[in-house]
Amino acid sequence: MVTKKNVIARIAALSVAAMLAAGLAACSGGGKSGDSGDKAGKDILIGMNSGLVPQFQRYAKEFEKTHKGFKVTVKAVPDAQPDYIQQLVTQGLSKSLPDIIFNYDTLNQTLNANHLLYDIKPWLDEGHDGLKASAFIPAFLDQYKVGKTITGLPVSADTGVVTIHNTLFEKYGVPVPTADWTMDDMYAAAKAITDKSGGKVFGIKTPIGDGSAVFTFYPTLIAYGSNLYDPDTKKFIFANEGGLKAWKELLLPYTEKFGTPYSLATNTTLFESNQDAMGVGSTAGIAGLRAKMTDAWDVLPMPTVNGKSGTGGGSYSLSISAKSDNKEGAYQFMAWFYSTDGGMKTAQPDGVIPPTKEGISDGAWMTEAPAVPPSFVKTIKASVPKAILPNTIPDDVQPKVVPALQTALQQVVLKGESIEKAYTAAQDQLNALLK
Amino acid sequence: MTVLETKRGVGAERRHPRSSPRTKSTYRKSDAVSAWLLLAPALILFITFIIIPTIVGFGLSFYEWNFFDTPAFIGVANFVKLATDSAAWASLGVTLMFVLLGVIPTIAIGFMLAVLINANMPGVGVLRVLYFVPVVLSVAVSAVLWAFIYDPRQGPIGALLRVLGLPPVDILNSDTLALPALVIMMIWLALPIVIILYLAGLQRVPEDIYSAAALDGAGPWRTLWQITWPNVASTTFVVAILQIVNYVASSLDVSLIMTNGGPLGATTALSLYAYRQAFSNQDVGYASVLSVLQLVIIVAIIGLGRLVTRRFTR
Repeated sequence: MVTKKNVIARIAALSVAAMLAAGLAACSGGGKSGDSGDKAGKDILIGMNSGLVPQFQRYAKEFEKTHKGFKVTVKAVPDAQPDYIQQLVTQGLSKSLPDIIFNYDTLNQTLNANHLLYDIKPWLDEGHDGLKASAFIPAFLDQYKVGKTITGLPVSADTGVVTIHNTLFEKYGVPVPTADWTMDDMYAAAKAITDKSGGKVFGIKTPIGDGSAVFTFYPTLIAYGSNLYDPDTKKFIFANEGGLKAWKELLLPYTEKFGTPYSLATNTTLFESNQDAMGVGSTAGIAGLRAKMTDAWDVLPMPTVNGKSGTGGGSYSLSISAKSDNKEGAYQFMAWFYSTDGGMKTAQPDGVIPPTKEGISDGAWMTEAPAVPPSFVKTIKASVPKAILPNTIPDDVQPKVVPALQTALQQVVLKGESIEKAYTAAQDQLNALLK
Repeated sequence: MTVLETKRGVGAERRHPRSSPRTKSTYRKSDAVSAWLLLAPALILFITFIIIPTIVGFGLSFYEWNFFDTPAFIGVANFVKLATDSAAWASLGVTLMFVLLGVIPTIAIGFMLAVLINANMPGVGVLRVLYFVPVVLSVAVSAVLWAFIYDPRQGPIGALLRVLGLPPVDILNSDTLALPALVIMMIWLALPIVIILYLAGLQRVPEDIYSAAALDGAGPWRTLWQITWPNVASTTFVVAILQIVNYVASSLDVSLIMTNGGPLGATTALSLYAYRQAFSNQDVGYASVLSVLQLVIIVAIIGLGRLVTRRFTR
């Protein structure tokens, strides 16, 4: 017998099932590229990192001037990757994904594995709209190669550099290093300033920081013959003999206390507030420092490590959404953006270092760069060709690499764990996650 | 007839002075329609943003989904994963520490401050405004303020330690001090709402009880604990429930901004762990299991609280 209670229970169960099915159906993204990708529409939507929106709005206006009828809209995407993913998901669900996506090298594989990125290699191969893969600096373009596909184009050839607080060097009577320096020279200068200032000034803002910026430690691993992930053996190897030497060297400012102490709260103002004499940062941060620094300062290339390049680098990219209905139009914008007399002409005064061979050798950034810091052009020219960028890590483990390394770092610095034990544990943990 | 019955009778008469010709069923129908109409806006929002996501979240816990692909049904695999995930249980321990360290002090301090603010004394208006300052500050702004307070080089605590000739303590980078430090900030953030609730409760305590207590020779301390405190028991229950939910759920924003869950996971509560599983590891199904676990814990605590309160108020 069907009672009233049973009927209500059945209706409730059906409703729940219907809602769940609807929810899941809405959530599932499909995965095929858009079918109407070859239509060159006139409306282009760009999803851009919030800090870069004003710049890209300017580029969009310049593009519209030379491409009549086009309307380019730039919308902000969040800076932090978890928030960025949330937004992409929301846009995917509401079918409003931008035509051009701001893409991170660390996220490229994940987005590609989930069919969000359009392969532009065929267009690059045929030199469509004048854009060719061979024009780009290989190390930077490689970040956006997945197998035989190319899923993004790097925007700026950003590398690691060392900022030098000349006024503090002068104040404490420490000679300013030269561009041909080594890691030992950098540490010796840092120690001298820490000692001579009686601890009031840190000799260096500890380059590895909280371990989240891969470009600060990756070249050192390579210099000691190690790597994060070995594609040949398909294993994480950063705790091998060379890796342990590299971590020991990288953690010296913490373990010997001549750099800024470990902090979870990243204080980015120590250099400009005259509290540290050197800092390792990306060239992308130079423009911001120009506006803040009042004392004399300069930049130097990263020192060599173990006789090899200590320069790391990376770049965000512009990628075309696989779900875009206007891939052709999006590609036209990108072709314009990378052209010497188009977007790059507009972008270089903003501090964008073209990630193209021609851009590095003859770009306007060299002649139009502000006078401060004085060694800017020389440093960039020396750094870009030497930049060592990370190789690809399997996308299902990629998000767990930095957290595992950060835990190892905290165990060493905060708990006094041995480098070998902490990093071997992190390596084992990551290897266990590999399928 | 009791006082309550008299009041109800008067109230009913006032509401429906000409209701006598209506039949009983018409009266109920119109009342029900009005009630549903008044409830509708809140109900729609509640169903849309609480009930449906909860049901979908529960459903997703049986799926493997990375946000982008089609979800794949995997049965109870995510629940099995939870059973063996030591990091998840560690984060549950952190969540319970947030609750244990936070709820009782919040209630105690909130109650005492409400009693003080409720008193008629000079300057109390300024005090009331000052205690409500945290309400107008976002968690992000408060986090910056408290990060400065805890900064060993630039903050006031570090300065005080230097004056006393003691070594600086890097509170937020200590795996033993970081969690209590965040709890102190959360107490500061929670106090205004607790004070408001207690002030409302205190207003309802009849003045004649205090007069009778004074006549019986009760001092301020005895009046506080034997008259005021029992008379705001129902408020305390509400405050306790709200604060348990607050310390379970809000620890996410605070630890995400101030310590990023560190050091060494010391401030990674269940909510932050679930957030990371979803948005850093793109494991939505497992994050849903963690959220279901959190929901079960909150419901269990509230249920237990109601049982205890009923027993004591009988």
